[in-house]
Amino acid sequence: MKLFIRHLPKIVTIVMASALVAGILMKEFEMAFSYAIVICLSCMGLG
Amino acid sequence: MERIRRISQTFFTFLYNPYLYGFYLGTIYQGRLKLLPCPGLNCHSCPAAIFVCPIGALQLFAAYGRFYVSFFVMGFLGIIGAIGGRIVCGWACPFGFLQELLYKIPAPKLSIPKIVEKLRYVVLIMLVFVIAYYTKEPWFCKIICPAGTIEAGIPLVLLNSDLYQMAGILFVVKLSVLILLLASMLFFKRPFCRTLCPLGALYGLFNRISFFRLEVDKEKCIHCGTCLHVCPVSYDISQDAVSSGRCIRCFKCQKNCPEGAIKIVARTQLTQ
Repeated sequence: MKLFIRHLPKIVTIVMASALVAGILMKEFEMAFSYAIVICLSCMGLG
Repeated sequence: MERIRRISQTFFTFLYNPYLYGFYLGTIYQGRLKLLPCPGLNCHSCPAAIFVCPIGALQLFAAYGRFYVSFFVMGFLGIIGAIGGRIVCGWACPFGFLQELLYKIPAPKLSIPKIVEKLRYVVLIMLVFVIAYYTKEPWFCKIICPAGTIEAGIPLVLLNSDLYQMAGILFVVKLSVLILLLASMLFFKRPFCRTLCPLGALYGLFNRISFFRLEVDKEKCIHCGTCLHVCPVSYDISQDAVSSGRCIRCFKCQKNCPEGAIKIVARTQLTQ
């Protein structure tokens, strides 16, 4: 357990990098893109 | 150091919002750069914005994503957090920059109770994930996000007659929230970051384990209170845990400490 906590920064970095790669492989950015190119009425307080 | 930080905040404000032509057109940028999330709080419906807002994207995935959490956005933010914790809040957030500028205006200066600062975690968990999942609506953007109102709502309603016609009670509510927050920025240090910002709450979770950290030499510290006085978020690094999610890594305390008791360290392992 102590060893795990000691190396937590590296473990978290690896997990986050893996998550990013998984997101890219699943092409999640395309869903985010299709959302971001349309004017968001919620962001503006219009809907 | 403070001058470099101001240059950095200005640089990132323009880096996130270089498409000024959008203000002339009264519409938003639709190019391929919107595939990428923005590290700071910056509304992607701002006519000048070229990146997707990470909090907007997280709410979208909570509502409609296959796994309810976006691996892409969480991975992107997580890597930044793992490197510097809340460093984006201190160096690369346009809204944080605005709050620091407004606080310079002469007015009575007040403090925020620590317990109120926990509210940002409630906003992160409830509004960004839980309520977005159940209602399929981005409620943080809808009723709170002041960046959306100031960067997208006001300019687009003024520039676009179709959008102007749509402004109703919700717009008045969001405008009121913005005015309240802007007014509070005269009296409190970075009130939005400390009480409501879900992005700051998310980055703050990484402060304990980030590669770049601040450490206090307890033997050198004379508890003079300089660090608390200069801190843009009223965080007393000499008293509180160094791992606190409140520190925005501006490094002002390190620069101003008369005893040199605060150090920036870069470590891949936890030592305390």
